[in-house]
Amino acid sequence: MIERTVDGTTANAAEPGGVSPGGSGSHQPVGEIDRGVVAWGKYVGSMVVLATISLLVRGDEYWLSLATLGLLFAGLASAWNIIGGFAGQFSLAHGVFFAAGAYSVALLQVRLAWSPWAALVVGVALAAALAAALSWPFFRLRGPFFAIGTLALNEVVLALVGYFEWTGGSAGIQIPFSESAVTDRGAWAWTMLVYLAVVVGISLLIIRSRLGYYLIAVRDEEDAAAASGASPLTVKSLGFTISAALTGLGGGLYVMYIGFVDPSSVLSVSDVGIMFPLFALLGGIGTIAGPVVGGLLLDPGEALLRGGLASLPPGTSVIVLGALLIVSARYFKQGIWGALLQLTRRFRGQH
Amino acid sequence: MELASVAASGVLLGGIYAFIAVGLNLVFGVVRVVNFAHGEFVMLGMYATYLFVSLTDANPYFAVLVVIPVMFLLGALIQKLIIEPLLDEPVMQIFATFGLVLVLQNIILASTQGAARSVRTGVSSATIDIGVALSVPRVIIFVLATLLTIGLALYLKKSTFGTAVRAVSQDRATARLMGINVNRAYILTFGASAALAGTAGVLLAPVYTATPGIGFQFILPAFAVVILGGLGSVQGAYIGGLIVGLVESFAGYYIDPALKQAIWFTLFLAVLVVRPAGLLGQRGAEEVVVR
Repeated sequence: MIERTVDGTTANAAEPGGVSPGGSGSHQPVGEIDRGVVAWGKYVGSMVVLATISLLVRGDEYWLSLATLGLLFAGLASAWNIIGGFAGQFSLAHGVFFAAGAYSVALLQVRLAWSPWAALVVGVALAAALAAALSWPFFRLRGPFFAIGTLALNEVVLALVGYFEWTGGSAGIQIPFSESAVTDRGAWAWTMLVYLAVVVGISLLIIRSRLGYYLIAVRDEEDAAAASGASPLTVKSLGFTISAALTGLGGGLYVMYIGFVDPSSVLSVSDVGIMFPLFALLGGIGTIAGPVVGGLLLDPGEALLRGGLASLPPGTSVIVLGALLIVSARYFKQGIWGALLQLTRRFRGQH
Repeated sequence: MELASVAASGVLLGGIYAFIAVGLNLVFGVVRVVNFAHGEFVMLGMYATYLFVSLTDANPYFAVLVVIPVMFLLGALIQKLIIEPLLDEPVMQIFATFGLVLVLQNIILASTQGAARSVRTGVSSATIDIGVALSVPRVIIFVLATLLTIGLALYLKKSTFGTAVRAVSQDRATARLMGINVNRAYILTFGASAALAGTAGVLLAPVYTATPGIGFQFILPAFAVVILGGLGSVQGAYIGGLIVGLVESFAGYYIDPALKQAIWFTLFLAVLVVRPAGLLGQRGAEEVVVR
């Protein structure tokens, strides 16, 4: 069913939302089972490609760290995409779930001497529980109001985490290097690749399941979806909870890799919270591959840009990102992946 | 006396929020766009005032003569070039206005190297005593916010263009059929909203130190004000501003200044959940925004 979603995105780019599904696949007719094989085949193939790239950059410390974070943020953008892309709910609170994972790992490890992997489980559970509990009040808000409400939530959590002392306050928490879960830098690229594979695998399972259809139905016609028996609240809560759990997992891994967490490094909307939707949009919102492409190209891209523009005043790289965001919202809704698909289709059409 | 002084500072803070929120609500109610960059317009107004004062050495309030036309033009251009093509796409609007936040914040960060700027004039520290000491620049904002609310509400109710704007905000398609140039009304409204935000920046320059991120600190209270007071309601934004200002002031004094945001946020969320259209807003107004 990936094909179907992807096609809809590109074909209906001029329609409201710009990410409507529907429209039939223009590929050669294949049966239901074949579609599944094709989708999972592409999935395995792309993971092998990413593994090869990770192997190639192993030798260079700088490129390895770019690849490691790129893989992590590709996973995070894909996790956001489950609720933001499939279901069209523009969450600006994913920094909260990211922080739930990050702080669970940091606090349990430093304060209670837990194993980071056990703490990671707690972090994921906490992020999922938060999202489930927040679903009822927040999904009473529609469209932009959901975005405002989640933004407000993020800002308050930012203030609270900086306020209390047991969280390390605004100074944050440092995890001693001797207690790092994985000390080999190369092994971290593999860990993040596994994380990405898990998130994309779950996205693929969702989009090919009843839940995926319901999420898309709720995005495109919430009232019609409700009338035909899909409870929008249940559907959105489920999508939100899964998305949050995966974001919490990414947050935990992030802090295990970086070894440090403070409120602004995980909860700043303009540095972190907006990046998940930004990567998803520029890659191709609502598709499986789009957020992966977006995260893998743009996260290292932003770091390289920051490095390349180091002689220029601070903030120049963010001006470029912001301008990209504005221009893409206007002219490039289908994202990099959507544009590639359009191109290949045009190319095939000519032959 | 303590109570009176906390209440007075709450009312004056409310005046600041009201001034910012009236402009935000104008765009919210009429164009039905959630402009995340409204706070950045305020920030631009503050920096422009600093620049104006350092170039001319004049009274900072004269900066409005430059700020109003420039911000109006900027707002009109943003509406024409960025928002107008995205009128039917709420998700893309969020992306676009958030992109504006990043661009405007970081343009100022890059051009000032992140240095904070404050406008120091005699008026900054002046106070008047009416039983409690009140800061003069804050009183000026409060008085102007009150006059602005009354003036704008009257203008929207009585004038021909105001009637057209209300028609557009109620039903875009029908207003167009009645011969109203909807896109022109939107451009003028967005321009006016940006000019109001810039004016708020001029008025705030003697009160707060300008930093590139200060606009984003105003946007959440302003959203809270708009939602409390009611979407598209000018009087609602004013009353909502006073409520948020008073809550913040009392919570800051009696509980903990660091938690004041968390407290009005809870209030904001409660209202959002119970009555998404706000206290004075038209019920159902929030539904129209979606599609």
